[in-house]
Amino acid sequence: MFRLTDKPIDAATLRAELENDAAGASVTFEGIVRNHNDGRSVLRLEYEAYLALANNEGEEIVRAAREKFDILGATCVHRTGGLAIGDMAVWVGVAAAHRGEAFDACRYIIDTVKHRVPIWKREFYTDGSVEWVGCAGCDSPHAG
Amino acid sequence: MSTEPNESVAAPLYGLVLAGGRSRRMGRDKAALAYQDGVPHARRTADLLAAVCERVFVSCRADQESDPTLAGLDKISDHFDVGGPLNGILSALAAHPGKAFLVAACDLPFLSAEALATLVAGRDAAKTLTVFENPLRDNFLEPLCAIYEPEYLERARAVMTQGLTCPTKIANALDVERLRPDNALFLDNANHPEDFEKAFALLSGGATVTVEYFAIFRAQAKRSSEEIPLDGASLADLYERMRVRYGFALTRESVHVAINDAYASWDAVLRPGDRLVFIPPVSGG
Repeated sequence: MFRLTDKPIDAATLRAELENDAAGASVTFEGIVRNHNDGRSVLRLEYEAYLALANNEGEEIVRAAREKFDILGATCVHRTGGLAIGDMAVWVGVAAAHRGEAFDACRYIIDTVKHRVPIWKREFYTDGSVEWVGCAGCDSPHAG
Repeated sequence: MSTEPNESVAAPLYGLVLAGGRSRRMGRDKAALAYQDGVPHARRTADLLAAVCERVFVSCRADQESDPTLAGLDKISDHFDVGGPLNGILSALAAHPGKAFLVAACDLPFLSAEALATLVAGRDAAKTLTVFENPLRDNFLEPLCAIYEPEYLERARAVMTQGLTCPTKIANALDVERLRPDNALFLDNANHPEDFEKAFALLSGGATVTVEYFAIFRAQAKRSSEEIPLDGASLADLYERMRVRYGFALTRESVHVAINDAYASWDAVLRPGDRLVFIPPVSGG
């Protein structure tokens, strides 16, 4: 399951939804807004998404993870809108019989989401400046 | 022996779209321009010829062999040491001995099935060439919408020894069947961007695509979407147009493209009503 939300992510509920008696492993990843990026002091940030394509791509990534890895369930939820330092930006959870597949699938999902899903981060810095991350005329495609 | 036209001895008729021009005055490849439904005009011309010819070929330069605009069309490349459209015509006749060619340039926006039917009906296979004279241009012959009989190859080459390489001048020196069209608009070719704009406005029927902007592009374009005319520009051309118009700093190498909510390749061809999004580098997670 993949979802975008403009509300705070409720990790406990998401984790509970993945519970499965056949699962010996549960691996979760929480992406948190930090107070610095590239040596600059960050105050807050905003995420903007191209909703239709982001949902299509996100669903496809979770589906591909279930096909590639021997897992029982996988969920990814990503925030949109304004976030403060310490807020959860993205949550990934994977349930599997064994830890190896659970770790690998979780890593695959977050890495692929950062690479493919059309979500853009706009950082507001303590010095008053604002920037779309990875878009300042740079030519490194899809910097994550 | 009779010189009257005789259906039973007329050579089989093949079609040839002339698409090898450099389009210097237009500034964009004329073969790729689309006047209707987003279909590149070289392809549209090939479709029109297919209705009245046994087979259809495209005359193109060697470097157009893998041009996506001409993908799937049979091609004939130039084989003679002469410039311009004459090379394409001679090369086609040389490649298919015994066949006549209905030749049409790819830059005739108003070329129609009716015009081609008039040409085929007026064909005199006993003449070297069946060609329209243009009442809008002092009855000049228009050899880039004409039927070339197999004999043209040798007769034209004989005339060329006198230094002629312009198809109109060669036609004037040969025994040709002249046809006078009722409405000569279809003989107008589009050489300049203004010609294209005018013809596009008359023919396109208002076909458009919607461009949507996100993140830095939305901020820089100061809009979240707009409708633009579907004029056959490639996705790369469209990005370049928007990049210049709105001052996008990102080069195309760092941008992806989506059509109707799915990632697409830069080679994709737009259809009327498509929704197009240029995707700046993503930064989720």
